[in-house]
Amino acid sequence: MLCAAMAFSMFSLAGCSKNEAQSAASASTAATAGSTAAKKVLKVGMECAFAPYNWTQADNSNGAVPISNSSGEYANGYDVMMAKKIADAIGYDLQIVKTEWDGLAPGVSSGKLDAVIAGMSITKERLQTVDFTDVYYKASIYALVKSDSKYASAKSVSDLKGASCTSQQNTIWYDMLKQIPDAKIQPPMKNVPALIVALTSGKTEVFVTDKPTAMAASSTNKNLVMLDFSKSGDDFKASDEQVNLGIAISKSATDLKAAINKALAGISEADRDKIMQDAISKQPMAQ
Amino acid sequence: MNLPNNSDFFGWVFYLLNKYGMIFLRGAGVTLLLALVGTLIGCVIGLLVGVLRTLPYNKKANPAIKILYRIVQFILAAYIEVFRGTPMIVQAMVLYYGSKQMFGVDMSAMFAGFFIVSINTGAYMAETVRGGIDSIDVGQTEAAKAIGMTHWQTMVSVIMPQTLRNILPQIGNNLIINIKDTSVLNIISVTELFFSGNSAAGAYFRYFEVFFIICVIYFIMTFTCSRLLRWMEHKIDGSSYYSLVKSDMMADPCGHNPVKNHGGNKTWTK
Repeated sequence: MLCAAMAFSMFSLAGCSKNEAQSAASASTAATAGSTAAKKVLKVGMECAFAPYNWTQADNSNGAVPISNSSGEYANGYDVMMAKKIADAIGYDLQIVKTEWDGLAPGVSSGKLDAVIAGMSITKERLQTVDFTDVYYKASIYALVKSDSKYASAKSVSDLKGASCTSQQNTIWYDMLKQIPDAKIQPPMKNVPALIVALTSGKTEVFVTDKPTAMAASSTNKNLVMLDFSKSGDDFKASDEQVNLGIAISKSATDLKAAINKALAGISEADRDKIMQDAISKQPMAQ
Repeated sequence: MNLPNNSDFFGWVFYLLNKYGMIFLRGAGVTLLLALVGTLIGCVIGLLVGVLRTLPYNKKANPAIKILYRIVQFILAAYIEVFRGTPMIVQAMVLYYGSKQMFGVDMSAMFAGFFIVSINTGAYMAETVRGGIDSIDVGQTEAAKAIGMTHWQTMVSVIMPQTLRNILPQIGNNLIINIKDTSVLNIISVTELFFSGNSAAGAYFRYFEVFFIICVIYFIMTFTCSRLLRWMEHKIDGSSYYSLVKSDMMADPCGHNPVKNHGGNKTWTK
């Protein structure tokens, strides 16, 4: 009986994947048909697992865009909203390609993707392999702690003295940890959800991240508080380069860069804050 | 549907299943498709490579054939060592992005996925098949030669049937390993089960609940496969009661005392 149920579940899964293969095939033919038409396609890569910048949802509510490499999944968030505005402004059709973080830079430098809009900060190291457009969001550095921790009332970076801390792998947030005096720096983690769990479970005391991530995490996890040291004079010392998020594009795509920069110039700082607020309120956890 | 309480584990599990259930199932479908096709093609590659690797070296053959033999053996050994000796995630990165950057070959993520799982499984299977062939007693090959069978005939009718039965558990191992290891392919944007889980976790920051669901789905898939393979092995083995001959002409020349049929449906005299 159990065996029969399992065999059935296997067949239904196999059936499911077959349908998907078919729909994926039809989607790709549709895409090629679209690209031969007048309108060009802008293939934008993102993780779709980095709320509020980008996330995956199961329906197209709140203006979500279908993910091209997985039918039935939709992407939304600040990056998607910005991508839509940019694609509209430069007259391209938008296509979202869901890609793991470490696959994003190779994707753009190899030409698999036209652009990466994924909350990526513009660093010298990354500029070696990819080019960046102008800033599309400025993400100040914040710290996240548990509300019942002794660091919850910290007013400056030096108040975090001696805390165990960590952040995400391959981000500039992780480099900020050195500024905490006597910090017990733990190995970095793969992604934000894992870090939130590390924080709530007590495995780490301080998670250093950027403003939108901190806003989103603390608004949905009531036992977390975000710490803003910008008024104390003892803030995390990050250069412009480190907090400015850019859109990564191929070094050879100079025309595309100019077009995107022109589109970005049309979206003011206030508009961007509004879009971010909108994204945070629309993210699945806030619904 | 309202968000469950922070501490309500099963509330979250059901909420996430409701919201992301279809995405998980689709991810599971992709995972299963990759593992099944990859293992199947991998087995074919492994069988071919394994058989070629066990070809006997003929000292009396002409020099051209000897050199060809050496070259083929070197290429096969290199294939096995390289693909067995580097992680699948690294191969995926190199093949998928490298082929585009260096040669301008734009393969789809799914094609790259099938390709990598297949050649990886092929490398492991080649060694398994070699082991399987080596495990058959050399006396059987000698006996086959003694009754005038060619190398090909010996392989097809004596060695391979026994080898395949013996390596079946290892094929099952490979299938199960592939179901789990395809989770590294999200690096080249294959949206398999693990990546689907990541999406849900990234939207709600509920890591434990999401991966509890993913864990159960993976286990259902691997457990089903391992049971099906066990059932297949059982089928191949046939009944444990069988008589080699219906009647023994030497012991019973008049046919008065036929060998008792134990109810097994398998006899070699059919």
